[in-house]
Amino acid sequence: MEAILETRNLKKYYGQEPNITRALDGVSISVENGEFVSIIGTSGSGKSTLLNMLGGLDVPTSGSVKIRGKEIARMKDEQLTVFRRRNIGFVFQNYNLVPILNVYQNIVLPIELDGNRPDRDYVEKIIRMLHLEGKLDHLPNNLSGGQQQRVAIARALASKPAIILADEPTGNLDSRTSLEVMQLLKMTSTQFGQTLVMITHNPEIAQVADRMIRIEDGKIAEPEEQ
Amino acid sequence: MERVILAAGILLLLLSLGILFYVRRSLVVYSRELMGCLDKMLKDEDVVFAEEKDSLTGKIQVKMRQLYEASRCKREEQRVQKEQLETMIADLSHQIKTPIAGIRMYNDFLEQEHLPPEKRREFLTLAQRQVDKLEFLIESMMKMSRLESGLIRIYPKQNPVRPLIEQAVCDAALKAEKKQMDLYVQCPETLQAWFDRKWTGEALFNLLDNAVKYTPSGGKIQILVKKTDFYVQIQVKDNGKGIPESRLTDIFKRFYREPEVCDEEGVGIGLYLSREIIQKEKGFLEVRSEVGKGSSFLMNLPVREH
Amino acid sequence: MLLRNNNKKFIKTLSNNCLKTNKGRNLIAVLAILLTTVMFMALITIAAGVEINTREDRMRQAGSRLMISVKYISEEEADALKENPAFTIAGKERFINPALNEEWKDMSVFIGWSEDQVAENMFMNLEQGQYPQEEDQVACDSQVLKLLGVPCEIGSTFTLKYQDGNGVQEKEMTLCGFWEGMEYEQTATLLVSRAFVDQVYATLGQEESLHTFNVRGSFASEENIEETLDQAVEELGYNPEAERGEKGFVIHNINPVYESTSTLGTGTLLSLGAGVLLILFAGYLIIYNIFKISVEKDIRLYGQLKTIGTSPMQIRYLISRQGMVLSAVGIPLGLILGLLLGNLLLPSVMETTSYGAFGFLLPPVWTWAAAAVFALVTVRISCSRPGRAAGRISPVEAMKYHGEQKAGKKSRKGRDSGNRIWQMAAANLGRNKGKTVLVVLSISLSSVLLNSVLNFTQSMDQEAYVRHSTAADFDVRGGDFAKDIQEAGQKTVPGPVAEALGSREEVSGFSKIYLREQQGNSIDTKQTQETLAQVLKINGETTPEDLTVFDRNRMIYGYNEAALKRAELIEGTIDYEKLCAGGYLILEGFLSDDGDYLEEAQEFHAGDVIEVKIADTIREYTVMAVIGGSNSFNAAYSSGGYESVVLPEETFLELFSENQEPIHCLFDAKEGSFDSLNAFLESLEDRYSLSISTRLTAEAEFDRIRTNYNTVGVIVCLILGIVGVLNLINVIFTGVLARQREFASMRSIGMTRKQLRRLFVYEGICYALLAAVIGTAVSGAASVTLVRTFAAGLWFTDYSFTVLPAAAVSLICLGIAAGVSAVADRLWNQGSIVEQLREIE
Repeated sequence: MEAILETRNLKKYYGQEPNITRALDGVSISVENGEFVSIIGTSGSGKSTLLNMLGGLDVPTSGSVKIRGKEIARMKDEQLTVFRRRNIGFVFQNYNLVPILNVYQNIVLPIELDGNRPDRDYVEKIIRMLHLEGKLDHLPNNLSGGQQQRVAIARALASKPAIILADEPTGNLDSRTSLEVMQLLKMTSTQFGQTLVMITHNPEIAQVADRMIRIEDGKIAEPEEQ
Repeated sequence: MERVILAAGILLLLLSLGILFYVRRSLVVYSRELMGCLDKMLKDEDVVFAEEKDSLTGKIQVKMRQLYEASRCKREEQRVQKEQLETMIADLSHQIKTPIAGIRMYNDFLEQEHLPPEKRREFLTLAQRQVDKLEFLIESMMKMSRLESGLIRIYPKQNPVRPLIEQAVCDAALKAEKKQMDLYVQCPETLQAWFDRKWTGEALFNLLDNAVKYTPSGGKIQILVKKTDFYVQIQVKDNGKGIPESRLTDIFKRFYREPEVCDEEGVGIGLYLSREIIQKEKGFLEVRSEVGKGSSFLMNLPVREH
Repeated sequence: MLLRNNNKKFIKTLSNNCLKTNKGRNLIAVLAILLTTVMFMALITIAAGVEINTREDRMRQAGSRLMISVKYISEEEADALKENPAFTIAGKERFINPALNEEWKDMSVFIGWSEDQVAENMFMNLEQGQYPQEEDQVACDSQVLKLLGVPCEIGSTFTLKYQDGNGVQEKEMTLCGFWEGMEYEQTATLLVSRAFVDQVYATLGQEESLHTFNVRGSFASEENIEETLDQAVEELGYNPEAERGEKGFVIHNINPVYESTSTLGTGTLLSLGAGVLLILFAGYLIIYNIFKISVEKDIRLYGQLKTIGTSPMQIRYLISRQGMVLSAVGIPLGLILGLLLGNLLLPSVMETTSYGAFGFLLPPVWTWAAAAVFALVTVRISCSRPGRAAGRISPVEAMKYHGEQKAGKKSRKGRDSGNRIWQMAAANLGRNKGKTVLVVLSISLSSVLLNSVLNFTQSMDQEAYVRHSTAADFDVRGGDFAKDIQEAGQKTVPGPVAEALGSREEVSGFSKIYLREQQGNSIDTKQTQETLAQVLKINGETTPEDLTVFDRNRMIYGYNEAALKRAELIEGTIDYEKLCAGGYLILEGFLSDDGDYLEEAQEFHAGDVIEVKIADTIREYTVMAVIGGSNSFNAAYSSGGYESVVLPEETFLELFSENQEPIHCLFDAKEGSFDSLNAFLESLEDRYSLSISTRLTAEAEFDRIRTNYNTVGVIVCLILGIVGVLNLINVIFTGVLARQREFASMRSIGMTRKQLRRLFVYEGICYALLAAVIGTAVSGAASVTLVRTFAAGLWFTDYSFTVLPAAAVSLICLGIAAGVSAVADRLWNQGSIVEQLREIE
C-alpha cells in the first residue's frame, strides 16, 4: 500500500553557526497506511521535533513532509490548521488539554471545531474504553496525569483522523499503564485503519508497534528490517 | 411616494435576483467540484482531496476521502484474506504431508509378512502416533480456519476469572505431574473479566501446555493473576530455558517452532491461536523472556466490555 | 462565503468558557468598554443637547414650534387650509389689537384666540387651569401677571384695556389659566375666548373683520416645507409667488428655525469628529491593551487550540466574540451612565454658548445608536489586532511559552538583596517594552492633561477679568442692557434713579455715560435714515467715504467729568472745562478684550482738527484726546475699531433732548460701604428694572467660567486617569498571572515570600515612577508651550508655570500602584510552592 506519511531529508536546525543544534539532520521515513510505527530514541534525540514536523506544528529548515502526497510545509497557516484538524490526531507528551474546557468538551473539540456533530456511539465507546465515564464534567486540571493522557487519547481518536501522532508521556506515569493505554490506542486505531506513529524512549512500549524506527542525534540509527 | 416604493421594490428585486444568481453559481461550482472528485474516484485515479479548505466543500471532501479509503481498505483486506487462504492451504498441505508419509511408511512396513510381532507392535504404535498427530493437526487447523474466517464466534461476557484458571490447571495438571513439576496458582477470589469462557480456556491451556512442554522436568510453573488499570493480567511463568529476544516476535507466527524444541510434539499453532482468541476479546498477549531463566506469557483480558 | 464552514458554534462555547475563567480581565474590560461608551454617549448627548436646546431656544425666540403660518385669510379659507392633508398639525387663530394697559407699556401684549393645539405649540403650555372658554376668561403668562401685580392664581381678575371699533374699552377679565413666562420678553400673548374676539370684530365692519384669521401648522417632514406650503397656498386660490400688493397675495411664512436645517456649524462638527476620534483612540488604547495582555497570558491556550485544529480565523472570532459579549454588558450600561454624565455636563457646556440650558435631556434614538456603534467599532478594532496575533501563534512556540523568559538574566550577584530586587523589578518592566510604554503613556497622558487644564484655569486672572468687565465697583444699567432687542440708547437708567444714586453718601466718583446712536435698526440701509453725524474733513482734507458716516458702531457718547477720569487716556490731555467750553471733542476707541487699544485702527489723533456735522450743524473741532473705553463705557453691542465721538455731559444733554438718561452709571463705594451700597442697589434692581454689574457679580462670573473649564477638564482627566489606572491594574494583575511559574520557581530556589512581595510592589512603583517622571516632564513642557499659548489667547489670564497637579497625580499613582501590587501578591501568591507549580500545568 502507498505511503500515507513521508519525509524526505528532513532537517531542522536551531540557532546559528557555530552554536547550531541539529535537532533533525536528514531524516527520511515513510509510513504506510494503517501501519503502526514507533519511533524510539533517547530524550534529546530529536524525536519530539520529528513528531512536530510530521504534524505540521513546526516548520522544517529544509526537506519535505508529505501527507498523502500533499506537501504540508507549503500550506498556509490557515489551511494547515484545517488540514491538521481533519487528518491528524495528537496525543501530546504534556497532553495539551484545553484547561477551560471540561473533559467531554475536550474530547469532542476537534469534531466541533469542524462544525460536525460528534458520533455519539463512537465517542461514548471510546470514553468507556478509556474509563473516563465519571470524569466527563471535570476540568483537566483536576485529573491525574494518567487520566489526562487518556483524555488526550480519546480526543485524538474521537474525530477518527487518518493519522494519530502520539508522544509517549514523560513524567510520572508508570510504564505498565502506558503500555496498556498504548495497547488500547493500537487496538482502536487498527479497527479503523488509522495510521499510528508513536514516540517513546521505552523499548517495551515500542514493541507494541508493527515497526520500530530508532532515532539518534537527529538521524535514523539503523533501518529496521521487516 | 409611489415612485419611492416602486424604486425600492425594483431595487429589492434586483438585489434578490443577484443573490439568487450568486447562490446558483456557488451551487454549480460546488457540485462541479464534487463531480470532478467522484469521477476520479470512479476511474480509480489518484484523487487530490481539498481537505485544507475550511468550507462545506472541504468537509464533504473529507468524508469522500474516508469513503474512498474505506473501499480501498476493504479491497485490500479481501486481497490479504485471499493470500492468507492460499498460504494456509500451502501450509496445510505441507504440514499434513509429513504425518501422512509416516503413516504410509509404517503401513508399508506392516505389510511385510515376515515382520516379527514385536516390531509390528512398534510400528503400529508409531503409526498410531502419526495418526494422533494428524488428528490434532487437523483439529487445530479447523479451529484456526474457522476462527479466522469467522465461522467461530467468540462471545465474551463478564465472567469470573478463577474458574477459568482452575479449569486450565486441571487440564494441564496430569502432564505436569508426569514431569514432576510444581504448579503454583495465585488468583484473587472475586476477580472478573470480559472473556469467552470456552475459548479463553483453550488459549490459557495452550499457554500452560507450552510451559509444561518446554520446561525441563522438575521445573516450576506459576500462574499469577492480578488486575491492572484496564486489564486482568494472567501471567504464566516458567523457569525453563527462555526465548532469545530476537525470536520474541516470531513465536506467535503460525507453524513457527523453536529450532531447539522440534523434538517435542506440537505443530506451532497454539500460541498463534491463543493470540487470535485474546485479540478477538479485545485483550492482548505479551511475552517476556530471558534465556536461561525462563519465560512468562501475559494474557491481558479486558476488565469489562470496551 | 456561502459555502463557509458552519463551525462557529463550538467557538461560542469556548469563548464563554474563556470569559468564565477570566473574571478579573472581564471586569476591567467591561469597565473600559463602559468608559468608552460613557465618553461617546456623553459627547453625543452634549452635542445633541446643544443642538436640541439651540433649536428649542430659537423656536422660543421665534415664538412657535410650528413650521408655517398663513395670515389674514377668511375663516372659510382657514378651515379649508386646515383640512389640507399635508398638515400633521394645524389650527386657526384670530387676533385683535394689542392690549393698552399702562403696566405693559414696555412690551407688546397681543390679544387673541387660538385653537388649543396652536397655543400649545406656541409655548403657551398651561401650568394650571385651561384655555379660555367664556367671554370674560383670559389666559396669559406669569410674567405678564407679575407686571400687572396680579397673583398667579386661577380666578384672579384684572381690567383689560383694548381697542375695538368703538374705541378703547375696559373689561373685567378672569384668569382661567396661565403658563410660565420668560423674563425680559418684549412680547406676550393674552389668550381670550373665541367669543371675546368675535365680539370685538363685530364692532368693526364686515370688510375689516373678514380676513382676520391665521392658520399655523406643521407638515410631516421637514423637507420641502416651502414647496408644500406653496402648494397649499395655491390650492387655497392664492398665488404664492405674488408680492405684497399684487393680486393673489397672502402672507405665508416659514418658521425661520426650519429654514436652516442644522444649527451645528462645520466647526462644531469638526470638533465633534475630533472628540469621537480622541475617544476612539483612548478607548482603543485601553481595550486593545487589555485584550493584548489577556492574549499573551492565554498564549498557551491559543497554541493548544491551534495544534488541535482551531484555525486562525476561528481564534480571531473567539477573541472578538469575547469583546462582543463584554460589549453587550458594557455598552448598555455605558449608554445610561453616559446619558447621565452628558446631562450633568450639558449645563456647563450650554453656559459657554449664548443659549440657555433646559431640563433633563433624553436624546433621540440615533444618538444612542451612534454611541453604541462607535463603542462597538472601538471594541472591534481593539480586538482585531490581539486576535490576529493569537491566530498567528506558532503552536510549538506557544507550548514552550511561559511569559517572556528569554530576557537575558544577568547573573551578577548583588550583595544588597533590596537593590537586587529593584534591579529585577526594573528588568521586568523592560521585558515587554510595548506594554510598559502603553501603561506609562496612558497614565502620564491623564496627568499631563490634568496639569494643563489646572494650569490654564489657574492662570486665569480674576483681577484682570473684574477690572475689565467693570471699570468701577458698580455699573448700573438699564434692565435690558444685554439684550439685543431695543435700541441701545433707550436702555437707560431712569433719570431719578441716577440722580438718587449720585447723591448718595457712600458713592464716590459717580460717572454717567450717555449715548446717542444711529437710529433705526441695522437691517435698513443707512441712506434711508437720517444721519446722526458726519465727519466731513480732517485737518482741512475731505474725509474718505467710509470715514464720513456714523453708523451703529460709531456713536456719540456723553461723559461727565468723572467718567472721563475713569477712561484710559491714549493721546492728549483732558481738560474738562475747556471741553465744555466748546470747540473740542474727544474720540473714544473701543478696547479689545485684553484691554489693548488697537493702534492701527486709530483714525484720529489728538490735535487733529476735524469738521463734524452734528445735529445738522457743521462745526470745526479740535481733537483734545483719544481715550479707550472698555465694556462698561460702551453700548452692549459695540464691536470696536471705530472711534466714537465723546462730548461732555452738558453739551450732550443740550444737543440731544431725547437722550437725557444715562446708559451707564459707574461709581465706587466709599471705604467700608460696599456691602450696604450693594444691598441698597439690590433693592432697587427689581423695582426699577435695572441691570447691575458689580465687582461681586464679575467675580462670580469669573468663578463660574473657571469652574466650567475645571469641571469639563477634570472630568475628561478623570476618565483618562481611570483608563490609566485600569491599565496599570491590568498590567500588574496579568503580569502576575503570566509569570506564576516563574515566581514559583524563584521561590523554589530560595526567594522568600517577603522578597517576592517586595518585587511585586517595586514593579508597580517602577511603573508609577516612570509615569510620574514622564508625566511631570511633559506637563512642564506643555505648560511653557501649549498652556502659555492658550493663556495668551484669553484676555484675562496671567500665565504662571506649575507642575504641582502632575506631581500630585504622580503621588496618587504611586500609592495606587503599590497598593494594587500588594493586593495582587495577596491574591495569587498564596499556597505552597508545590501547589503553585502544580496549578500551572
